[in-house]
Amino acid sequence: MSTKPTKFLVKYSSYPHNNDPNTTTTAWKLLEEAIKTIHLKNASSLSFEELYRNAYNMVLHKNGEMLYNNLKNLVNGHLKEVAKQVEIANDEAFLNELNTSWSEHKTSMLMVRDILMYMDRTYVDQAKLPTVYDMGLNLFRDNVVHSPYIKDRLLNTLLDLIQKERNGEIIDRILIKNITQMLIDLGVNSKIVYEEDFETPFLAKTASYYQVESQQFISSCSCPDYMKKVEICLKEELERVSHYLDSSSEPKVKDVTEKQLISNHMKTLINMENSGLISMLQEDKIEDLKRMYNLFGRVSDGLNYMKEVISNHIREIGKEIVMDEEKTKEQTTFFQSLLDLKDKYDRLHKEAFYNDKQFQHSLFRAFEYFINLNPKSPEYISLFIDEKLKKGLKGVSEEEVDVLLDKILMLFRFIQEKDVFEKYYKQHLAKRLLLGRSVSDDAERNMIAKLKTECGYQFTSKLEGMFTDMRLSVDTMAGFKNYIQTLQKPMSFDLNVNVLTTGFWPTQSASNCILPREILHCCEAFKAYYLSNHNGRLLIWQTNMGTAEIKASFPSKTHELQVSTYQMVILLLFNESPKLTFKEISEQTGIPPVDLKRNLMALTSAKNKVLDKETKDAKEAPNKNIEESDVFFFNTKFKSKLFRVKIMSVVQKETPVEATETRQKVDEDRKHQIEASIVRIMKARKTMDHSNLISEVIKQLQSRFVPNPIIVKKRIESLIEREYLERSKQDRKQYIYMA
Amino acid sequence: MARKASTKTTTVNRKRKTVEDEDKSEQPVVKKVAAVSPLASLFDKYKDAEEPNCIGPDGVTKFCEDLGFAPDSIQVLILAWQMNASKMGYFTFEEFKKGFEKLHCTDLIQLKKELQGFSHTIKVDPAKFAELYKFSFGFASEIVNKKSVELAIAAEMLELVIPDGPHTKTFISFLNSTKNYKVINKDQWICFLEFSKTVKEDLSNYDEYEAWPLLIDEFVDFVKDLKK
Repeated sequence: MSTKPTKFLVKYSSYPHNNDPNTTTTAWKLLEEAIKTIHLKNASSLSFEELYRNAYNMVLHKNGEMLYNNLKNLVNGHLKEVAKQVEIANDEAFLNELNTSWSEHKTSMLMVRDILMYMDRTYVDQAKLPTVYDMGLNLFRDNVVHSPYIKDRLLNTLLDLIQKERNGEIIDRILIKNITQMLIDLGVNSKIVYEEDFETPFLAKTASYYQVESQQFISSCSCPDYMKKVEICLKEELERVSHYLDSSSEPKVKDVTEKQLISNHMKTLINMENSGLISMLQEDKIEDLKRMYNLFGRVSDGLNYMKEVISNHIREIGKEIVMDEEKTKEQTTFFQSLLDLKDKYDRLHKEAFYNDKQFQHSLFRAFEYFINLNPKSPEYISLFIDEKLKKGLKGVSEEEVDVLLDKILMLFRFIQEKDVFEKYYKQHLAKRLLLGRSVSDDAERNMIAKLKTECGYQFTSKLEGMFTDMRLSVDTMAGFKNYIQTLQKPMSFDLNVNVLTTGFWPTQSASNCILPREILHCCEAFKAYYLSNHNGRLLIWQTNMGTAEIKASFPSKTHELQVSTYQMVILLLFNESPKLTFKEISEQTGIPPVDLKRNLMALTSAKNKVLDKETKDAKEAPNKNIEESDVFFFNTKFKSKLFRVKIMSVVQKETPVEATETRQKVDEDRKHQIEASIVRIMKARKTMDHSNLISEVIKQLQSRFVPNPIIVKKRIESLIEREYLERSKQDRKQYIYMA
Repeated sequence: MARKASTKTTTVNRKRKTVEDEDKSEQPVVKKVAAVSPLASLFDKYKDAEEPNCIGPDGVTKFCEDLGFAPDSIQVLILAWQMNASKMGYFTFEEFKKGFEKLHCTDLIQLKKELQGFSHTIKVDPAKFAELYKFSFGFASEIVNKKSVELAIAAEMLELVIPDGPHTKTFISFLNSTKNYKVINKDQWICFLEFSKTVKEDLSNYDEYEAWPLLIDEFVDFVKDLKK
């Protein structure tokens, strides 16, 4: 390119210097004719070289301004004619006419631009005017598109066509595409013409259209149907943009439609009776929920609102389960329903809500909220596990056990009072181990391992100690048996002792009973054996926790009875005397009255009536309960199909007294833990202010329980009193650690 | 109240000067006469018959009478404080001597004036008052390790040491009615002084998150309940 003007320059130097006004006029005449010819679409007859040269000369002789202005007037005049043509076109031909004149205008302006290229490069550039082509665009905009008879008509025609398409008619998309493209081109370097002449009114129209439409939908459809319609509408609108609108319109169209179709109706949709969010949740409508999640995710706050409603719903349901007295009586079903609820929402969360983190969080919060509403939840979880480990796991594969335990653990995580759980778990585990009730040792260990990963070593160390005790006891018993054999003094019965380490096991008041002589003798033998191996230890017999198997000869048959140690002691009394009063039994066995009653109740129960009783008030109907005035005797009429008879000890729920005892133990433990935590923190920090210390303590302990700030404060004061801490003399709120 | 007290003490101060002037002439004579120590003879006058190294409750009562103060007056408390007496109702000779030395006194007249003056000082010098307040806790403590004071005694002591505190009266009635506490500990005692200094009488600027001991939190609840 750069060589071309140079060539011309060389050529030009041979021309005589000519600045004659006549020459200039002639040159313009020539160009004017040529441009008119171009407008008449006869450009093939023209000589490009000649025209270019004339234009070049005009510009070179400082007549650029004249050339530019003349051209402007010429095109202006032409376009006025064009506008008239377009204006008279009838409605159907209108857009086509406009489109045709636009493409003709573009072609002719391109030619003109080529001819006048030199002017574009020099004069136009220096005078900072629009280039020839852009000037043509501006003129077309002002004369044609913005002509008072065209402007509104153009907009309305376009909107009508789009409306027709929305109503299902087929329209000439390419024509519209051309027109919108024209509007964009006319903006020269911006999209202002497109935006002002078309997009803004279009968006307003879209909004009002969907406003009406959505009102109609929502009053006639169920929530899922409405959402399906919305999905379709949104898809259509986006297709529209991609087919014949400018891509810059896409977010705007999306905004407008989403606002009209979703945002404005969020609450109505969610709360729609019988088909809203809650009923979708109740009926597990995964597809609908997914749709709702997708749609609401498009608008701001949509998901938050949805989340809130779901969370409240779960809270309500959970609260119902947890606070329902009937349900909580049956701990297993109570817990099963919680597990089911958790399962359900886990599935919904996974399948309908794409594992949304926020949803999960609110789900967890909701569970945490209602589980902790009932102070007995920790106990119930432990009871549920107890139930499962006792019998619920028979015939279940290892993987399934694992899955179940994991699920239980999920709920366990929501419990705030984990230390209460630990207390109960220990009690239940002790019973399972000592009474040999546990179905699977593997499952037990699996559970402990899970608790360990969840709560740390400290949490399970005592539980593990219990297992160790059991294992060591087996070894000890094997050793003891050998020892007995070497003694050559055969025992009249087998003795099995579990040696339990104090501290690992739930402490129980050692309410001892008076053992029969032969048993006592055997116990002494064990004690001697054990202490000879483990010097310096103290053995205390816990007869309240033992079991025994005894043979009983009834007139009909001999049976083997499985009884508790207490029951055994009671029954052995009847070897000596046929009839015993409650008082006599109590005196001779030394069993605490409460336990004695409980065990006598088991022995006189209708199912296994080993003992019979005489009640003083014989008139009264036979009463299950044991009165202190009752007299007991051996039931010679005892019958059972089975050889081995298991006397079920009367299962006894935790009495209120025991419950408060457990609670007190927990509170006592907490005191120590809070103090230990305070000292740990203060030892590290040396000084710390009140509120920080309290929140730090709560943070440290919340994996086990959530301490009440008042209790923490009390502990701080106690530590001040005992001079572990002191208040700063300058600032009462600062505590100082005293080494 | 404060103004009255101050005028009184200024007159006392003036008097004291004249008395001192008179004393100066006589002092050497006295010293010569009581070669052992005038203080010892003064002490002997009140000492307990059974425990010769100690003035017992009867002696203290007598001593206070001679001084012209009631045994449960602030001046006697100040004296005990200056003596650093460890037990209420008893002065050992060591304490007795130390108190006189500290107050630069040799006889009862001087002591009386000195104590009058001091009872004004504690009203205007918060640091001195705080010291006295702190001492009064240990002094009131019957318990050997001095870590707590029974509520009834604490109430009496409060009335003596901080009678015009904004919360003293209500606090005492709270102490008399509470069932959660039997004793008050040092921390609670010290904090009550600060509470009296910083918290307004209507409790409007009390903040429950401000690390007040629970005893004081409960006191505030008590007062609020009363108002209802």
